Amino acid sequence: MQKAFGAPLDFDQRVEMEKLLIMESILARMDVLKMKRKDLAGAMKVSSARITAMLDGKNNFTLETLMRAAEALDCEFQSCLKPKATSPGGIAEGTSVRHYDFTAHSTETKRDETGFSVDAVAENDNVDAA
Amino acid sequence: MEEFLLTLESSNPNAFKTLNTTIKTICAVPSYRNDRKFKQVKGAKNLFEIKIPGIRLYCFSEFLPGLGQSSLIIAAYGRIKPKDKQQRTDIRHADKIRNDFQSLREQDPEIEYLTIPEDEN
Repeated sequence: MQKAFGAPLDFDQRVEMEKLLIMESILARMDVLKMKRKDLAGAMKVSSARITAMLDGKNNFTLETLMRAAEALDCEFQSCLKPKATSPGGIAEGTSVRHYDFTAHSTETKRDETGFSVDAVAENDNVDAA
Repeated sequence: MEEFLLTLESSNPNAFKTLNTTIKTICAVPSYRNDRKFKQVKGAKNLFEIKIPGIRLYCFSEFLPGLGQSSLIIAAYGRIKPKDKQQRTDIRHADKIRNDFQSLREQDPEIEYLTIPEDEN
């Protein structure tokens, strides 16, 4: 049992998790705006049933749906591809990372092939400390 | 509980995967808002139900010192395709498990799980 729950999520599970996390972002924003689900449905020009399907994780979000939700919630939509830590150009977890475009940089700072600039990389990691 | 999860894993692997993903998502968010997946049981303090189609899993949160800052969702009771009457029984059962666990923890804060006798399961 521990093995089943401890195993990393497969692709389908990661997709499902992302859908639920997107809905969490939407619900958090709705809380701030004191917006009800039917208000969101109206603002997105979709049915209430569609919002319910989104909450159930059954909805396969299209880019248009996400942008409609962002507009309805007075937000800007952003997407991001972050290289995995194990991938070429990937950045180890825990490293402070900012996208180049959001970094206050001097002319010497150069963007690497990943598009991310790295503030600091840990040196002399003390593995015993973990 | 383990028997319920093992049965679900073998009889309906997709539902088990969905349950696994849902639990991990709930744990990943500090204050989970989606009440279509996770909501407090009416009339029961600190008792929640995780909802996936055809399955209800009751749980509660508890701070476990061994895990540092995070609270852990502890599965208290579960059933596949519960009917209304069964759901009420399950909620009472889950609430009793939560009470028993919390009473035991008052005596011994190191306790991280509760063993339930076979005939109560």
